[in-house]
Amino acid sequence: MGIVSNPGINPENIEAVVEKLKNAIGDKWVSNDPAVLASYSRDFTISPGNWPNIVALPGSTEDVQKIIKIANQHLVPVVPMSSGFNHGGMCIPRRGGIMVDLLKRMDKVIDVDEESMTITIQPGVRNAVTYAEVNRRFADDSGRKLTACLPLTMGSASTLSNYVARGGGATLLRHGNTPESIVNMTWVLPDGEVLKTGPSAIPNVGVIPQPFGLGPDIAGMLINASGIFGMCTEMTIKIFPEPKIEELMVFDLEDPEDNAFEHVIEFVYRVCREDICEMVYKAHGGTMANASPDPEVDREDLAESMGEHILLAVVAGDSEEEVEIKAERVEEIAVECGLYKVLIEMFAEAFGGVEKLGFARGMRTRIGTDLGRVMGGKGSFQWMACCPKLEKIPAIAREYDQLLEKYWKPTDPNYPRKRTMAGTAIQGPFQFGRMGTLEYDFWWDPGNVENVKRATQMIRKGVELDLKHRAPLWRNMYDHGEKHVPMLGTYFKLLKKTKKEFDPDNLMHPDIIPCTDDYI
Amino acid sequence: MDYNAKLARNVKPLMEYRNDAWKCVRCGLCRMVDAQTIEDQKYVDNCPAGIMNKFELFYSAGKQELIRCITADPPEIDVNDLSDETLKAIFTCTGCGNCQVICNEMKGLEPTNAFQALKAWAIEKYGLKKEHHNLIQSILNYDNPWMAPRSTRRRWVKKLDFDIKDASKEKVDVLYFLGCNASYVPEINLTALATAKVMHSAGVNFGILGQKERCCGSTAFRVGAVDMFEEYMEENIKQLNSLGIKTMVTACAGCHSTFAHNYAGRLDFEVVHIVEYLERMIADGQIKFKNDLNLKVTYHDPCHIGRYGEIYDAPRRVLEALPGVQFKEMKRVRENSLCCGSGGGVKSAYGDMALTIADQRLDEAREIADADVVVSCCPFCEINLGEAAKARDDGIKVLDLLELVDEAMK
Repeated sequence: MGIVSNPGINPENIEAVVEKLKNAIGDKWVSNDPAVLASYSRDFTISPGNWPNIVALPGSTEDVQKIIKIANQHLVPVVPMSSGFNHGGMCIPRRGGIMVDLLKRMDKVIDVDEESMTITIQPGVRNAVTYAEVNRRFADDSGRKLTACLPLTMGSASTLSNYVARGGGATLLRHGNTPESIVNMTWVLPDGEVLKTGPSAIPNVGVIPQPFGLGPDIAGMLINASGIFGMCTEMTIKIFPEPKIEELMVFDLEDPEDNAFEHVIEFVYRVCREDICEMVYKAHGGTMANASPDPEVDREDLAESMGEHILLAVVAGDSEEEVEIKAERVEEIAVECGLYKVLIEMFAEAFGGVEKLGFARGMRTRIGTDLGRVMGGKGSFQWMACCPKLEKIPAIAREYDQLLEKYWKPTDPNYPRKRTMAGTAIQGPFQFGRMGTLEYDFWWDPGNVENVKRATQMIRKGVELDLKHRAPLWRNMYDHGEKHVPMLGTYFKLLKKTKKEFDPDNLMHPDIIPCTDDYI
Repeated sequence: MDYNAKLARNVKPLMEYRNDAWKCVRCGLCRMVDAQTIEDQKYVDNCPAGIMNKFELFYSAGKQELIRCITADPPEIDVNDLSDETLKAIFTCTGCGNCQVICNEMKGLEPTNAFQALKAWAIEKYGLKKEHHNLIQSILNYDNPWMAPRSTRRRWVKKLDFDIKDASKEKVDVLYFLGCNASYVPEINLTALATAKVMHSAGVNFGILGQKERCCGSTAFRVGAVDMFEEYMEENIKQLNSLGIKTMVTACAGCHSTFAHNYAGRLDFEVVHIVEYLERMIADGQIKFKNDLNLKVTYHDPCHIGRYGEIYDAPRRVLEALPGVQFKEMKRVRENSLCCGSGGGVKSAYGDMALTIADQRLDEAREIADADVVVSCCPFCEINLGEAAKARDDGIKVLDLLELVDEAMK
């Protein structure tokens, strides 16, 4: 069923590989049963599915080494998967081969180290578990909690994979994005050798909480590489103290018709410049409605009432006084930007309780475990993101809105766009820089052929829109890479050379990034 | 959170789940307990078939993909040649409802119901599993899955020092519907005796159907023999509605779930699980406790009164009312309870899997709740957990809540 096949994909060879894998990692953990293969063939996005030929469930880094060495001997592609939940074909075995399921047996928190303030995890550790284990092991009476930087995704998504794939918009932007929190990594390279990065490259040093070792940092090459340079089997990441007190502030526009995006951008920029917020997030009504923790809330009405530009800001500190001073300043800026503060009690009532969703305690620390609620919308959630200069956001967002008007059409005609998550969201700029993240969201019905076509067009046009405005794409998904990577000039040439050197037979997740001569 | 997850209500033919299968976003939340409740990495996963078999196909998302492939036009998998492994994935689903409770609230999908339809489809295509064949034949022949003659259904009554009315002959307010386990399985006979004694002591005007009681059909439905279940249901509805009772009480979670949900709207009386009835009797002062039990206890929520029936508080309140009971919760409780592993015909077809899951549950009872006794309100849970307890050397016991209540009343 493959779109294109590798020389190793033939029945005799596959049978031989199955036997060798069973001997290497155990009978029980290898399957080529058709239904098992089918269950690894798709994700929920527009990406076309494809079956692997074999599924293997390793239990250790050594097992992963054995799998990759056998794949090399038989020229069979290898594709890694952890939780498999992603927004764009990241685990589809495009040329078949061996699907390596890292979730099921490599799911342990190996260590939580108080001195270095780090947690060491395997690929199968999910965000909700990361959060829980850090809290469980650091529970004390001081009232201060510690947390890892959680990507804005489901509690069921793999923490390690999100870090490796530059999990979008983390919950601790104050400390940087997910990859900035990586200390050590263990990788199995395309030849089956083990690479350790960070201080752990030196044997027996233990966990030193800095991300680099001697010489140039080759760890960066592995991030966002979608498995083309191997598989990450262990990762140590930093954890951070949370402020003791947090307060959620909600703002809306005085006049939504009056250059709404410009006002929002000005606010986001100014509060981040003054470094007084833990997190700033502009959602739209549909997003907020879908995030309501209360199933009794009428999400469609809530979306309608919240409008297009809901701004959330979290201020925090270790004393009531500190939080109060920051909150006053944030409100001053908001008023100067044409915004007004929504009474939190009113917001909470309409929203269905902020406490449960974790906003009151700080959206940034809880959202990684709670975001499942956001998936409550109808159909599938499709996501794209770019990192433009702030001043470009209003123009991009308006053009994106036109795209939505043209291509987005719900299966249910009584379900207007305002009531869905279709729209743009902005996260606070990384501190001290004038860059924000712009996210496009839309819902579609994967069981409807017409909807699939429209969603596909939306993705393509969205990518073109980003690149037209010179807004770098957040990560490789769908055919983003096809359009983006060749723009990189010398960087692209070096990437191709490196891939060729590391993986001459192009066995590691072939075609996920267009950097080989035989790319299809 | 609203846990009214429509479990076992209106299960449709497999083809009608096609679009749902497309809509599964493979998020994986349904294989875990509610992500917000996680405190310890040891107590996260909550899909018995997945825990035991690991491959994606055994979890909800994998089975959704299987349904998508089967219902595609043309099918994307050879539906006439499914492997033993695939059939195992279909029939190791215990129907515990965890995936549906999680998914229905967020996406409105009904995976557990879809997997029930998948079992029915597989039976139509491949016939009953041989391990289930005897159960079904026995129900047809004897109205119970234990190959026991109808005439012995009332034998347990001889152990009582009072008589029980025959509800088919004289009018009673309350019908105590025993179910096949309490009628025939010696360990579960104890629950029947305790239930009868408690209701008798409380002065309840109740009766039983004796040898005229027929299986509720739960076993047939859960293993996927839906047609046979429907025939049974129709016969039972005629018989039960003719009795003129106000209330049916059952101490079996499976019977309760079947009457309350699968028969929903067709019965002329209320269906109550004994724990709810006990709670009423305690509140009304109809029963008093005299004996200090001096036990460290935890409670295992059976899927069929827990996720299916949303009866979580009543058994806990009854336990709290018992003198000398030190009650402590496990991690996976209430809507996040781990299935004992025996549901959906798994105990009969995949006994080792059922026992391994039960053993893991007992580990949790020991490690988290430091319990000497695991209490439940479901004969299937009690049989499976009890068998696993006997194979351990830590002395942990499994008892029905009614047994404790009876003991406390002495």
